[in-house]
Amino acid sequence: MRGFWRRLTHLRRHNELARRLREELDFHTDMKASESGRPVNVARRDVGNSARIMEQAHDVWSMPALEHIALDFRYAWRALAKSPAFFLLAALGTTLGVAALTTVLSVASTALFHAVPYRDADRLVVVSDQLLNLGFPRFPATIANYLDYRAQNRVFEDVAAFESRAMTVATSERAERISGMMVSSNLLSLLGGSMEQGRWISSDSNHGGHDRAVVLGYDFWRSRFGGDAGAVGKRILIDDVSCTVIGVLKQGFRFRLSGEAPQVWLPANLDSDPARLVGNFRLIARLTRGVSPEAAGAQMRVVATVLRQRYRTGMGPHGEDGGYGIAVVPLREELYGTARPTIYALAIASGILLLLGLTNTAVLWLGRASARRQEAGVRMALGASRWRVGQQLVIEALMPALTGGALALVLTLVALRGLQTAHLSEFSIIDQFSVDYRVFGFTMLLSAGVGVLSGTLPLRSLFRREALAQERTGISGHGEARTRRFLIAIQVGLACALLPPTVLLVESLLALERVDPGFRTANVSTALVTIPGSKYRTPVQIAGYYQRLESDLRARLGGEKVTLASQLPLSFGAGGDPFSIEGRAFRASGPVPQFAHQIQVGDGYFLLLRSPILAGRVFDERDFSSSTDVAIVNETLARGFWPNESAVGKRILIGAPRPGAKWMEIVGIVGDVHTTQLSQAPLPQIYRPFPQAPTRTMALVVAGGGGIDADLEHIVRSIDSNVPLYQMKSMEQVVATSLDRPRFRTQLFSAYGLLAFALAAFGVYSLSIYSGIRRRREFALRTALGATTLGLVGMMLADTMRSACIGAVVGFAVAFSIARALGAFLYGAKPSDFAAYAIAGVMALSVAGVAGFLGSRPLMKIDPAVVLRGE
Amino acid sequence: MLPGTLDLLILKTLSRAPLHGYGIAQQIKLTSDDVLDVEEGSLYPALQRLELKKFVESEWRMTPNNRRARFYWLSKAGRKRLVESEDEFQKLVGAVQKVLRPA
Repeated sequence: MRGFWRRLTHLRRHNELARRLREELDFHTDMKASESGRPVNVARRDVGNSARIMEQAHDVWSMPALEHIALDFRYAWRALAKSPAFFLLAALGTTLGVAALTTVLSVASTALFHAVPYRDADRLVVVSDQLLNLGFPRFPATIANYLDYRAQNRVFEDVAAFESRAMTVATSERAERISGMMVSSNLLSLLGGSMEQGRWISSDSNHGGHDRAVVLGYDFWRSRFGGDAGAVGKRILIDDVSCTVIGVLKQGFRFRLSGEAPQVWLPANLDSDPARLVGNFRLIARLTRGVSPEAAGAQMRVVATVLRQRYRTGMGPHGEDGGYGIAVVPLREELYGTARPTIYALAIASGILLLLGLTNTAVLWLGRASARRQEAGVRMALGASRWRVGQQLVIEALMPALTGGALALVLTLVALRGLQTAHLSEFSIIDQFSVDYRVFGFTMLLSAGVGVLSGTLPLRSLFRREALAQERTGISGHGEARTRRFLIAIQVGLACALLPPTVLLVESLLALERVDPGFRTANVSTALVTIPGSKYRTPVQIAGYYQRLESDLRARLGGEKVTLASQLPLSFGAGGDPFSIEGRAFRASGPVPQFAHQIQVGDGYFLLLRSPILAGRVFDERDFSSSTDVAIVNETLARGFWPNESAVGKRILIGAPRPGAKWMEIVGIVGDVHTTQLSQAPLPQIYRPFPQAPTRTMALVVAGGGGIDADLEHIVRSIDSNVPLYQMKSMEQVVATSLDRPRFRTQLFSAYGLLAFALAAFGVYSLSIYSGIRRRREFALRTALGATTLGLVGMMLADTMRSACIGAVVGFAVAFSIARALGAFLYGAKPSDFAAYAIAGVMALSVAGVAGFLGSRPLMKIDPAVVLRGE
Repeated sequence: MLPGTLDLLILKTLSRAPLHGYGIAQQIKLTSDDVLDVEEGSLYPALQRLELKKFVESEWRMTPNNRRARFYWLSKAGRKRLVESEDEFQKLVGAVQKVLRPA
């Protein structure tokens, strides 16, 4: 190692050492001459080739290999700079694939393998209640269940409970909705988080009434308290309750299972509840060392059996067995399990892109082979050793791969940064995506390997004497035709592997965009309003507020232009509330499940959103001013439960029949509205006049040009200044954002598909140009013997198309497996959809045909006399 | 010449007095009764190598005839190296002789 450094320093003294050696040799020669009495020039001949001695001496203190390599790099750079188009394309072939695969796999390894950013995260599991008979694979746990699980399990070190909740934070100027979390005090120690300042919630924290404790998330502390070092002890109004800041969490500590990460953390009320009814908690537990999630699951099933027998836990709304159980799922799986198919599909797509890029690079090198062969031949003829020529060729082949790799790394970093700032909710607990350098290294090695192989293999004949003869005849051999066919098949095949899934996704998106949401979207604006529970406690108070709001708004905008709804379309979760039908048994799993989305609406709701009334009537004045116990149901519910008669006049009830419950009479049937997602069939829906079951959060729905403006905001605040108006959106945006994910997915895949397509087309085109050049003499000969130009072009095209067809068939097999992985995202299209494959096939083959034809066009101008005579 | 022998010869020659390259070649030729003729093509690279390994040191001096020449002499490490090399060489020669000795 020391020798190495000394040599490096000698490298600097290169000239000095050379001068010294020359002088020494001159001296030597002179001495020899004077001693033997012969003239200097004779003596010089005796001494031998002084240049050679200089060279050998130079090799002693320099690093010849290193210098040669540096020289070769310079040489390669000069050679490649002369054909920038080639260099750029060959480099890009590497860049796209390496960047795509590294990015996707970096996200995958961050999400699927590394970034559950908690202490000893592999021992963290999510413990979920299930009511499988009622269609709930995840059901919130009650306080009673939580306390029992904590006490009765022998597999967890600890279990913590938490509930994500939107909260209103009010200051003197404004009120705002943020995400918060109600937690048991052991959550932080269970996850292994720590505090920036102050302390975490203690087990005896005050969770009700006034003077509650609140812990701030780091980002919230920075944005709202400006990073105030004395934030602890300050007060903040949350949901109209004055809370004291007791601590600030460390930067980067985030936790949630779904939705947005909380910004404030409050103690949950976990007082025991003998009725076993209260609670809306999710549970997270830390496995005792050595216990597997499966073993924990088995023990929790025993606990579930005991609890079910003792308390009839998980009883359905009508007394039936809800299928209560407990699921134990590793936290990582719970967080990222759903992202897995997308990531896998993208990884495959990226791999395909990489392979295509590399094949393309190979094709490009093939095209340059003859020029390089001549040049290297001249070098060898002038006495360069095979080793030196070989090394130079390898280095030249490495250059585009290395340049492409450097570009790819930059692209990857940019893409990961972009993902981080995109704030995708899936990744909201991930602080930072880091480049997976193993993947980068591997893809780089692959690219460099392919670069070197494709840059040198076509030239291997240089190192084989007998090949020269073939070279001179200019007739390409059989092996070359095989290589060409193979490359065409691979390119078309890879493109065909990506095209059908892309077509399917595009079809799905188009189908989704065509879905009628069931309500008017043009010229309708919405916003949410939430009133604090501390001030508006009773249903009468809540209803009173909203009646006042509605009438104030109507006075301003006009009667038909504004209405209210407890929840907007396309904003519901998957499950619904069980409901009962008078005189019938509950039917959890019929053709239409007996679960409904319940929507409390204001006067004129159906009129404003233009939802058609199919039978009966809409709500009228009377329904809003007194308790008439009426409901309007959607078509799905009416048809599903009264297929042969009218539902109007029948009576239903949310929940189970119970003494004193007020049955609601169905007075009308309205057309279906998409409440969850456009891709899902509408569930039963039950509409009620809002004063009959008021909720604290309501959506304003406003028709007309002005939308929700400062004027409206002023009206809301003039009634109560602590009430936030938030999530202002046009109804068109509501529909558009519900398609954000499918659209993003489709765009991503379309980008992949198009790139693959372009690469393959370019590859086939350059291959056919190349083979046209290589086969000039052959074609000239054929022409001379009577073949027509048309016939020759036809022959070449047929050859190309045969390989393309073989490639397409193999590609479609891969395509089918990708499409199956994406199955959950397809709408109105099946992975085996023939049309998609037909479209893709026609596209791929016609582009291959056109590219092949364009490539063979120069052949038409062949003049056999010229070609055959020209040696 | 056996491998490594040239370095040994140079070191041994220099252990007697500092010499320039030509002088080293002459000295070896002389001492070996004209049997060993060191080629320039081997001598100078060998000197460079020894200097790189810090076994010899060198500087420009004037010869008795008033000419500038590069003189080489042994360093401390060079002396140590010479002793080691001599031992190794003796062992090697002994071993070769043992093999050649008639049975």
